[in-house]
Amino acid sequence: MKLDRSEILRYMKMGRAEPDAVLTVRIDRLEHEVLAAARPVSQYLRTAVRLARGAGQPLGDAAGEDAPRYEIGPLTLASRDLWRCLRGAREAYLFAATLGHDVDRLIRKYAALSAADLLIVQAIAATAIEQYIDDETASWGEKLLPRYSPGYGDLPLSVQPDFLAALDARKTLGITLTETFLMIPSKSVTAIIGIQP
Amino acid sequence: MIIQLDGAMGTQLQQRGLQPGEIPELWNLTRPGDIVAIHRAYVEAGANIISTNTFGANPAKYHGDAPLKNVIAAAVANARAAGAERVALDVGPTGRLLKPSGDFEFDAAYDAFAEQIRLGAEADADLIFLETFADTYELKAALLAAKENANLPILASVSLSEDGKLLTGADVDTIAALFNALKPDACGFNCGLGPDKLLPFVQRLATRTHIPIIVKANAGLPKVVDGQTVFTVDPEAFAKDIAACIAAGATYVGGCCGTTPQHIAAVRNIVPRCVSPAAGNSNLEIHPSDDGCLVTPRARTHRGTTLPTVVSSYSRTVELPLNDSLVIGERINPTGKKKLREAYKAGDMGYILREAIAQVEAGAPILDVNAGVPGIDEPKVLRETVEAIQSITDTPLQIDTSDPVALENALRHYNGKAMINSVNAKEEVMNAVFPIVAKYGGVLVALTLDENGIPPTVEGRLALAKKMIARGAEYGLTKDDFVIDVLCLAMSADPTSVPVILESLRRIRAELGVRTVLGVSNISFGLPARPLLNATFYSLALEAGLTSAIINPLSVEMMTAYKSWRALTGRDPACGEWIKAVETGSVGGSASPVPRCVSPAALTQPTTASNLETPQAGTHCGTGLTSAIIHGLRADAAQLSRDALAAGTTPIALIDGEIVPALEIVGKGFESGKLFLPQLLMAAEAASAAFEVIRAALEQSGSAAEPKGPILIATVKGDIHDIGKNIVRALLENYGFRVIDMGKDVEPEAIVAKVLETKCKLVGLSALMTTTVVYMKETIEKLNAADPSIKTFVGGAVMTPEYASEIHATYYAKDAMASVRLAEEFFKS
Repeated sequence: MKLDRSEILRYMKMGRAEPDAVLTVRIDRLEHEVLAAARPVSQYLRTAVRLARGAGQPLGDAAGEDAPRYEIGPLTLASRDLWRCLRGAREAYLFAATLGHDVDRLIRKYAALSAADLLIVQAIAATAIEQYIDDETASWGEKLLPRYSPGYGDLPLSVQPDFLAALDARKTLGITLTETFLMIPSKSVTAIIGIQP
Repeated sequence: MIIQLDGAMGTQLQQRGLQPGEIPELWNLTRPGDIVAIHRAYVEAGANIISTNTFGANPAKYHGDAPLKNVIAAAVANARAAGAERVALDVGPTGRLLKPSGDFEFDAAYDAFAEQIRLGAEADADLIFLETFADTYELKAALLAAKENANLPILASVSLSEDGKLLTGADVDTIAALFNALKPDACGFNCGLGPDKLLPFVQRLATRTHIPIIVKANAGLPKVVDGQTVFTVDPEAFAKDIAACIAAGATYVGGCCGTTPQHIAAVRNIVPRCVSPAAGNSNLEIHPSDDGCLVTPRARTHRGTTLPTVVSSYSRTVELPLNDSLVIGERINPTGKKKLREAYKAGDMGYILREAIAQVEAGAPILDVNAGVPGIDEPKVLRETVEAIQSITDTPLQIDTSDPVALENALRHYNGKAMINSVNAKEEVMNAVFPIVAKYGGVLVALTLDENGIPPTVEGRLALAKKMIARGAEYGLTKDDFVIDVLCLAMSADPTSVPVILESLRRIRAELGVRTVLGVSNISFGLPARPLLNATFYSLALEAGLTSAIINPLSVEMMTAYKSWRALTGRDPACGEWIKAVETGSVGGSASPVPRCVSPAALTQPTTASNLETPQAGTHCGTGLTSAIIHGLRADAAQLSRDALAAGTTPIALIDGEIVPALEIVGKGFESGKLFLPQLLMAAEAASAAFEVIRAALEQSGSAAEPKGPILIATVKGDIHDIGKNIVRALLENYGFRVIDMGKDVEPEAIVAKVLETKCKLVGLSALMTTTVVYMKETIEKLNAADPSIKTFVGGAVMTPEYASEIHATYYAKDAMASVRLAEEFFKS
């Protein structure tokens, strides 16, 4: 994988500034190290999106009483923001991806060694997971809507246990949750991706 | 004898109507008829051992209404009612990931398994089956719980990914090292893969352990068809592949996901025709007796192969050679190291971790870890140090302590099979150390000394080596579990020291065939030019057969001795490693080729840093420490400081004239948006490197300034995002503050306790998620209740000035630099 340097710089909060030679060498070295540690894997479930037929309680309550209730595969949801994002899609992917535990270890290592390197490693890893997901989803060869992740808008993080269970992600990807529904490894993503009708 | 295990439970439950989200274990109580029927089908298909429907029945995972005790009792009763020959209490993982990768404490995982296992034993299960583990650390917690809470045989198996590794990184060798250390009665693989894909890993495992091997494979790889997971390997094909696994050494065979009674029956039909290389070596014998002890562990019998002696971590295994030698990094030992002692006392884990990384990068395959500082709680600190080092490197560790309590605590929480330093031939020490090593496994450094001291002769040292090996055998240790240290006495005190050491090394190798180790540098104690004496002595010892040495891997002299010996004696084919080491400067006569200055070209490139009002960039080699700091050149900043001091510049002049102004320039550049965070951090690190050099000079003159502070910082409970907090910590440290970093996901009570203990008056809290700000609020409330004079500053992605005042934080820090500014202000007043 070749990473988009401008994305890395964006995550580093470099604005429009060009890195100098010293910084460039440092980013090169760390990019090599992150890519060597990364073991990107993903899992998806392609499933129908339909309005809920009554029984199931929606996951989470952030959306309020009168929100639309709908099912995406085994998940019953009531997020207005996601519903808007799905734009009437009849089918969607439940998708999860991770860079694996070694990247987290690398992040811990640089947390002890150097804050500058830590910041750069973090930016490289964020770029790597996003780019991996872009490549994977592009390979499906379908017209996809923008992806939407739990924790944004009114789709609460509390959907994560059922979301990951639907993909058997603990077993297949090694993604587990903390008590507060944060994913481990930290460079992991879950997303709902609508298919353009 | 081949022992047959049963097949899938989950797949069968789904066929009988188990709904997604339903708790399978509750069926033991609500639908016992179905559970008994599933078990009975496997009994009729030929399974000798039936696993109970208790995979998730541990208190960390189970959240059903019925008490766990009732669920487990019913589960065992159901298996019995089905006519099971033997009933295994099935124990799966907790579903949580252990620290340091996850947020679950090792001891909490242990407690969860312990309760499940005690309930299983009370319900009269015949054995315990730990299965589908995907993390060596959690497996270790479960194995210890099984050993300490029941007196039953233990089967243990892990779930491999297609690359033959666990999800947390262990390969087959590393898994085998853990099994050999903790000694279940059978070990192997279940779930994950089909028997065909498991075959090469079974073959590998058979070369790495003498423990009987389990294969409980899936019916192939899962495929998703119409949203349903299906397994497609039919019973005959499955049985054929299982037969191949038996031929490779498996003695416990059965099925996991997707297998059916038909799969197990097919295996039964093929088993009598299988030729097993391990036949008769089964560790558990099934007796047709009714004495209540139906399955008994049997003495381990070797398959006639010698296993390599290894130490391991969670993902890496290092073999201790018998005909070669390896380096054990000595630097994390506070004896004679003032800075490390201070780091231990101050709880400065960062310093210790940097020592660890430096040694790993210098090529040390094992690191010694010693926390023997008078006045600290060694059992606690040693354990914490081992855990912290394991959180950032997979290099196996040598746990170095003379305190058996500290040893056990560290070994228990070590993720892997450790090297242990040390035992000696004193009765009291052997009686304390051998049981610990027998229980947790490990490779043991054995010092040739006893109640009478160190024997002056070769014969005396050999006799003690033999004595320790013989006594170790009483605890099940073999000579391959030992590494003999014949002890290095200073030759200035004892002129016979060198010849006795060298001859002892030769004879231990020739007569005992046992590995050896030395702390080499003691030899030159009290003499001048020690590095040269040490290196030459090291070469002699290597040639006398020394198989490992505890040395400083950052010493060019020692690494030159080591690597040149390996090249000269044909242990470094084509001298590849030697050439590489010369190129990187880790061996040879000159110090590593760190450029004193970056090329002028690098500095004339357009950079935001050079746009600042600074001294001319190209001139920094002449005078400009300021410029080196601004450009973030760590090595240059340190070297320029050394040069300046050597040329007579006073430390105070360097600090006030160069470092402080440089930091002021970058700080202002950052605040005005001309400079960005990475550059600010690089500059701060360069300043810190310069400051280190100057501080050392000041200490020599006895006038070192105390760092400002302390400031306590933490990421609050519930939040594991600690990158922002770590950046704040580093920047505060670079600006000369002492920081107590409590890490991430920290309980409010723990923060309050530490603040009171350290009399800290300024506390920084970070949270990235809106969901965890509640804990930030709670922490601030508790701090204010404990001591209203404590000030707090908060930051993180979700923080705003309004939010900060709403939760009663004293200050809002919009970024890392703002934290430095407010800390400067705070400690000024």
